[in-house]
Amino acid sequence: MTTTDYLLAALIMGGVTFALRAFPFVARHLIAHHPRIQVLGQRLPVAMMLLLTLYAMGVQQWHSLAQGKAQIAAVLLVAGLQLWRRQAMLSILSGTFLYLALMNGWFGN
Amino acid sequence: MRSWQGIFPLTVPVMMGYLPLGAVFGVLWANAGLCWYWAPLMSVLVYAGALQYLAVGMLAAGTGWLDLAVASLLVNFRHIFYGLSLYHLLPGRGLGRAYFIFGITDETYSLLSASGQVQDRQQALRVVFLNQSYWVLGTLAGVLLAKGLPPGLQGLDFALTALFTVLAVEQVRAKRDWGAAVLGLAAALVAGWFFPHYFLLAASLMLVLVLLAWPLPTSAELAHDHD
Repeated sequence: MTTTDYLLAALIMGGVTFALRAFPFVARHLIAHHPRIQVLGQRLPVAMMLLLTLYAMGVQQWHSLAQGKAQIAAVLLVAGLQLWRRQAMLSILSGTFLYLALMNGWFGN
Repeated sequence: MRSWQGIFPLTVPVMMGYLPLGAVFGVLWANAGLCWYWAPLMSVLVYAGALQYLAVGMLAAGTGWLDLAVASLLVNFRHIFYGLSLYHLLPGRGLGRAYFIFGITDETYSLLSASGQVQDRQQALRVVFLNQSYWVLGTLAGVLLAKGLPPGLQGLDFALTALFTVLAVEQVRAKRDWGAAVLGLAAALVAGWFFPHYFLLAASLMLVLVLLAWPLPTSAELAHDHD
């Protein structure tokens, strides 16, 4: 990638993100008074976060559940810890450690 | 008015998250063979954790600009609603105003929208600045440390999956919206089965359309909710 490519990538990602973050300040009335957009704002994040989790797990490339064994085990650990202790860093680091251990054979498999 | 020293303790939880997560971003960036100094620059110019993680793979694979724009839109779409609860903290004018809007990440939003934590605009702006500093410093550390890590350390990118998992658990916990949760899983299943190559695009498009078409609560309930 050239310097122009990096700059363009930063401007695209940064520009779209800034526009989204600025939207409620610009279109305050549209958001505050449009019931369907309110419903979207309430319900979309729940569904979207689950979707992004599955996407990051790579489920779209799996042909069987066995392919995702390590991913599934580590995600269950993260979700369980988060429900139990509610400490994001603890959940993330523990899950990542488990995944690294499974993928690199640290448990001797 | 609280000084910088007074503001700092508020941001410590975010620091504990942003330093290591920023570092993982730096490591992933360097390991993907991308130009090292663009990692901290991305953290300065873009400042969006999940999107930056996602972009590592996309940029390394030479994904097109349109796909990058769509990914930015989808991953950060939730930010469209954050400002709604931050009007009282928006700086009056100029650069401060623009920078405040630029810096509304998930974590900064949760800190600023928690009632009573931050009371005035100058404090809010300082919180935004401190939080981004942690993210940029973490990134810089990661990209510099990457060379020292053992090669073949597979799976560090699981940190992204873990981050999304935590955000998903917190969303479900806060909203208890099982219908939306089931909808998310159903959309993933359908998209994964029929459109595996356009998974994220197809699934999120289905979600937005279904939610927009969903029957609204009665007007009495709405009036009660929004006035």
